[in-house]
Amino acid sequence: MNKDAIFFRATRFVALAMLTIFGFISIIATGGSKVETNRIDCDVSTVTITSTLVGTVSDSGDTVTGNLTITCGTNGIRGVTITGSAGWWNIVSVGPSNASGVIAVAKSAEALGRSDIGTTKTVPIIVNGYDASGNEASRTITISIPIN
Amino acid sequence: MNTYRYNYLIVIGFTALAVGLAVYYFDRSPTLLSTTVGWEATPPKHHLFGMLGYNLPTLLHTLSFALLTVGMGRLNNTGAMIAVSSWGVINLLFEAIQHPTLATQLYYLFPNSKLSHFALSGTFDPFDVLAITVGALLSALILKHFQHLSSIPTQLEQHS
Repeated sequence: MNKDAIFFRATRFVALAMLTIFGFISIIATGGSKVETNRIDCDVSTVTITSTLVGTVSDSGDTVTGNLTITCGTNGIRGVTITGSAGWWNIVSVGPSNASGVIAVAKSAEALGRSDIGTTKTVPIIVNGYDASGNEASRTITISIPIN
Repeated sequence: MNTYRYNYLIVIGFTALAVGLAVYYFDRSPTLLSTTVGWEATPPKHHLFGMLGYNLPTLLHTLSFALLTVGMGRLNNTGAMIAVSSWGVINLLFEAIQHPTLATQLYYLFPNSKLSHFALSGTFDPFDVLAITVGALLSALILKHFQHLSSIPTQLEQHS
């Protein structure tokens, strides 16, 4: 194999490798852009979430109802009431549109069935806010939902 | 061995990519891009693409990266089909893990990883699955077209 052929193959390999990396990065970078989210105006490390959410399995349809209370530092923030079908409900964009612009961003995943009665489901909630330096940051907080 | 008009494929690939970027710039909130590529975070001003803007980027991603891979890699017929299928499957996998069930499972497996954050914050959309399929089929059709063209000598080749 002459030098030109080696150079051609090497160039092609590098180009394809870079293209593949760029392809993956672009998928990751743009994923989630369909979600309408608001960013909490506070340091995400100070955010706490308490939940009274309860899942109910019934023949008329599974539901998850209750209240999420989000606290940012020492500031109490209005709770978020959730009601919806357990199979697909998510907390994305459901939240107080109050002056402080606080919202919980989350997604549940559990499709409930009779076998789930008596169990506890955990649901990760993403909180979008800022870090201590003021840069945009996210944190995942897990809540537990008992199923009746 | 069948070959393609590779430079044409590269041009089409980059054009599709540019249109896809335009959707993000004009129609989607650039907040996400601002955290990843440093674009200024401002609310979207236009909805240039309307309803198309929801699924067009997914279609264009599959299409453009398949064509760019074939064009830049100077791939033959078999390689081209592998490239198209691979980008289709990759896009389908990334779409699938945005499904709530898979996203949560992924979070339990890899908590606080970029991948699980991507999956949790993403929105599974059946129309994206359709868009990926259409994108892959469209790239295959374009490849087929340019494969056919490559068997026709250009004016330059005829004169030489």
